[in-house]
Amino acid sequence: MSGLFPGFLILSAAMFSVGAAGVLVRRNPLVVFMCIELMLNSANLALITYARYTHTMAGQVFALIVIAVAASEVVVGLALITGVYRSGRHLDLDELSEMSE
Amino acid sequence: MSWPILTVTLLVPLVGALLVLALPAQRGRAIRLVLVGVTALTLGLTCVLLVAYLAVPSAAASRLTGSANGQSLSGIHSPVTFQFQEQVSWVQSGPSLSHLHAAFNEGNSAFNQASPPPINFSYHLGVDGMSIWLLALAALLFLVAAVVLSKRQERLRSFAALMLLSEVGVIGVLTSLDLILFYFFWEAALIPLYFLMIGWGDERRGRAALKFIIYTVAGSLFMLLAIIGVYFVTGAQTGVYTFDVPTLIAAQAFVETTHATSFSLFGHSFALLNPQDWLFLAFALAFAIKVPLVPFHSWLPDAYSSGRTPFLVFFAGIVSKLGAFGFIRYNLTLFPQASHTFQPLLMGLATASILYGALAALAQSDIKRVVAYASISHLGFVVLGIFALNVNGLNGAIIQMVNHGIVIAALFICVGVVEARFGTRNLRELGGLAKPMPVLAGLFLVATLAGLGMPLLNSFVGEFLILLGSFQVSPVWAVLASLGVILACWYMLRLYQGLTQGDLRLPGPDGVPQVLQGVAGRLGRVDVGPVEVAALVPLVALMILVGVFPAPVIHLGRFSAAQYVQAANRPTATNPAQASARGLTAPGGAP
Amino acid sequence: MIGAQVGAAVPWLPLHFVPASDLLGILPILIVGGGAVVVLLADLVVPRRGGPLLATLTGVVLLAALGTAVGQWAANAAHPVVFDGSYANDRFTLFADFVILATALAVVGLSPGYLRRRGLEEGEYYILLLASVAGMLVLDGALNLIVIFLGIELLSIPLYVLAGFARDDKKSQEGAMKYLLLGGFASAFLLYGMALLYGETGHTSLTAIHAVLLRGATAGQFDPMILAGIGLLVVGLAFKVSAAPFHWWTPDVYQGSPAVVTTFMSVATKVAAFAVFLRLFSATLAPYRSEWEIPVAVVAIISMIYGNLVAVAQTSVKRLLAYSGIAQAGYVMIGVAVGRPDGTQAALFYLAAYAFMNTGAFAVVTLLSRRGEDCDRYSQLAGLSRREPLLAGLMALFMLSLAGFPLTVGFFGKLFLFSAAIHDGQLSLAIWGILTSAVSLFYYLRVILLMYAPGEDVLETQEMEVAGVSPEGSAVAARSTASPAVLVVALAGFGTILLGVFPALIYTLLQGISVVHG
Repeated sequence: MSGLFPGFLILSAAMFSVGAAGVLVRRNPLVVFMCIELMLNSANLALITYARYTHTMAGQVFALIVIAVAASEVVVGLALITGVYRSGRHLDLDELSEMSE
Repeated sequence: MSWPILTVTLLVPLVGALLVLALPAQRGRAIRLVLVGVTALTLGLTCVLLVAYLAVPSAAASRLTGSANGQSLSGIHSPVTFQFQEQVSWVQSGPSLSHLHAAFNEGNSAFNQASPPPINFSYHLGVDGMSIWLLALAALLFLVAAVVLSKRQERLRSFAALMLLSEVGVIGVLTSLDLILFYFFWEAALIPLYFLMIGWGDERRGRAALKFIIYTVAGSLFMLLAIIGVYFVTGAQTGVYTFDVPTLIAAQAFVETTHATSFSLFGHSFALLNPQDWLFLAFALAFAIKVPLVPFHSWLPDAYSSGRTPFLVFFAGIVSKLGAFGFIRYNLTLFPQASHTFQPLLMGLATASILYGALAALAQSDIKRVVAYASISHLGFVVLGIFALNVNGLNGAIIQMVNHGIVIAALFICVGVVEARFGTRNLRELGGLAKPMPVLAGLFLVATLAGLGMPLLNSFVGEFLILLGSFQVSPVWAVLASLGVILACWYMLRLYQGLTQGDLRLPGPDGVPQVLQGVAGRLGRVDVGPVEVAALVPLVALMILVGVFPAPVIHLGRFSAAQYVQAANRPTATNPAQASARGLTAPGGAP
Repeated sequence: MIGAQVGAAVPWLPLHFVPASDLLGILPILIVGGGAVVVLLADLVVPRRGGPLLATLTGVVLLAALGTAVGQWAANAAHPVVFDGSYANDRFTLFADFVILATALAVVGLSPGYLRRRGLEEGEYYILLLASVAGMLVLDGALNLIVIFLGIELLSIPLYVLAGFARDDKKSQEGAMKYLLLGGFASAFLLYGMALLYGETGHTSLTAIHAVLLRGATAGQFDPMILAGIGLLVVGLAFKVSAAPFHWWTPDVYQGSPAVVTTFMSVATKVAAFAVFLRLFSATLAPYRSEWEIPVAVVAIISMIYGNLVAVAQTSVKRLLAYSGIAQAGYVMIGVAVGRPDGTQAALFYLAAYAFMNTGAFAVVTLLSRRGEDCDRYSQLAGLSRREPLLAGLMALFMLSLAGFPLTVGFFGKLFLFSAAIHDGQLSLAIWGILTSAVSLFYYLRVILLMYAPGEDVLETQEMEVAGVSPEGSAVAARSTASPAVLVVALAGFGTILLGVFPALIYTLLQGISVVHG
């Protein structure tokens, strides 16, 4: 396990980067939202890896809490996105520009 | 004086403003009555102050209040003495957070530094031989402005209240003896002035007001930075962290002016500025904008030409003097070394203002702009006198500040009457007004002659002393400045002759000036009314009085001028022992 | 002590699970959280259109929490750290609590009238508001990475919903969605930064992390992974306080959200986020100060420059305040970058000042709203001084305060910040602060000019006539139905002047903050 430690961290960092890149380049709010979830889960992976590595439990507790919080965020997020969709607009962030720049 | 006369002087206009606001807006007469009453009461209080000040022989006064001045620094006193001081602590920070914080993080590198110095400032008022004159002038001009304010002025109540609030600000600037308090009033005075500028005046007033306030505040923000800088620089070198002006002035004797490192470029050696120089420049910028000196003057013609007469009486009369006041009170005393370093720069700017203002005044056809540029030229003289850094120059500057306030107020009232009667400010459309308006022409003539520095009128005294003082520095300055006097004759007489002499000319219906002959009678009553006469006569009387009997005025300003010159000419010391070895305890603290 | 008494008097309460002193330490949070449940239940019982009743209830809850916090401040508990070192109920926390609770109270005062005018009267509004306040109270005393994360999410998630509370308004929906996506993005950065910090130190407790970092820093070792973690924390927190260049969401969200929500969001969120920012950087991460000092200072400078420059070009008051909020965040960041006690004090003072002036300014916008929309375009402000002299006067006061004029609290806020920066030798921060303050005059005074001088911005006034805004406008009607709202604006104005003349009232309080835990 300890041999895999850098591997897990690299995986987590890669997931984080993919997620961040996705938020910046994708235009569909649903996909952007999924990318954010990916970033949160990459953090979870890092937390658990570190927990194992440092032999402390805090990281695992942290990860559980993050999972719970992310779930509630998804509920709110999906509701908002549905709301926008129901008002008859395309799900494209570039078209959401009611307000002047 | 056992009662806090300065606080009372400050509160009277403030209470007056609230009183005015409490009146119903339609009661124009009552509002005007309250306004005149309050400003007259303020003038009365400053007269009491003046008499009390003069009653105490200056030397004795400095001995009486000496203990309050030299509250620090092992018996070294401020060379400038202040009377009628009142002091109450305002913000005082204890050491608790810092010490405990440091204790908590014991061994923590980030917190092991010395605890931050406490920030203390106080409500500290006082006057000296310079500010007391400006205080009297301010009170006089606000009364004059109140008198010329027509009760038919639209939104009279707001105008009156804002005017009284400006008076509070001006009095506060002149009397505060704590840098934070000073800055507080300095900026706070701008708020009513800004509202007066955007609320009343011609159609370009909004832009003029914005220009004025951005110029002024941009300058004073740097001053704020410098105020904080003075606090820390002085504190670090003397251990006395304070915003208190007398203490700071006294402490400057110990502030070491570090020798600037120099670098060479193209074979010349340039000295880099030391902290004192930067602080001096930041203060000077704020004051140079307020005066204004030439590269910073462009707000002034717009502001002066778009304002209403009562506003201009005190705005041109006293607010512009605050810049010169600041130069004397803060630049000379807090940065003696830098004052000498930058003497040529500021004398140069002052001379440039004198000449530029005069030439620009010659080129104007708008009568208010002529007066505005004339004002720039006259204020150049004041700054020239200040930075001559000798008793004659400074004495002249102090006198000239008061004189200029009187003259410019009278000139603005005169051209204001003309504008109000004929609806134009264009010199080309007006002429021969002496026939229908003989009284105005007479009073205007005195003001004009005073403006160009005629002997036996007030400005002559001040200008003469300033020229004398600058001649002592270098004849070049005196010669250049004399050119300004010559030009002053030209543009002032051009204004006077153009308006009053020759054929009667009035703006015609199609914008072409009509030349009327022998119809003066048909114009009806256009000459100055009793209100304008009541405002102008005291001003004109003062011009003649000061011009004919200048000796007392010169004598009274001289004591203070000598103190400031002493403050500016202090050698800076590297340590207290050295300072006392040089005998730096005179004159305020001299037994 | 109270908890112990309760425990003794009511033996069946399961207080033995948790020590009473711990519960006492989070009493304000318990009150607000419990209050949210009470309001939730009350919402089921009270008839429809029971807005004022729920608002009163919410106000009582917030007042109770505020009273408790004041009591705790006065009692000055000897051991303010509770729950095994994960929450500090110290004076730093309590001060932030005061500001947050007072702002929330002001918002509740503004809400009933505003929600009625815009047809948004729903009980959920108050529940979400209380939940968000609870999150802020959790955040400002958090001494543990997990608690920080919980606090941030607890304050954010209800705010996402509140931002989109005007469901029929496309702007509101859009603002909410942007807030959700970018808020989540920021949370992810923050979380990853925390993961790195935890992983390299082996602790989630701030105090323990501080000890580990101190050991490393004294030995001259700066762990690159921790540096990366700190970098991610700066990014995440800068998002939350809307500092440039992480501010993208701010203007749209502020403009789109209902004005009362914007008021709450712009002040309370910023205070809570800055509280954790200050705690983390001035205490926990202090050993690494040499490493984070420059990046934080750069964020401060960029915020000041960007916020002030872009604000000049705005034509909507809400957007103006959004950009001014970015600039103000930059000023507070000066306090973070200085880091030492005087920086922390100055930042806290500025936040309190900001609460007064910004709440006031937004409250005026709230009062100007009409059926179905917020009146925040410049054209709708023109000539306000004649229609609504009181509101115009107060708005002018808030603008002057934001610009930092004396006689207003904004002046002392800037004075203390700049002195802290200069004393710390960070002259460049102070100079940029001064320069950008000069720029800010332009747009703050322009608002005053609009309200007081007719004839300026002629184009805008014509636009107003085209838009069919009657000169009598909205606020006359607003005032008759919204006296608590007028009271809120007046109180904000009163506070702005009072503290502008007697800054010692708050400054002395700050002196009483003896220890910043973390």
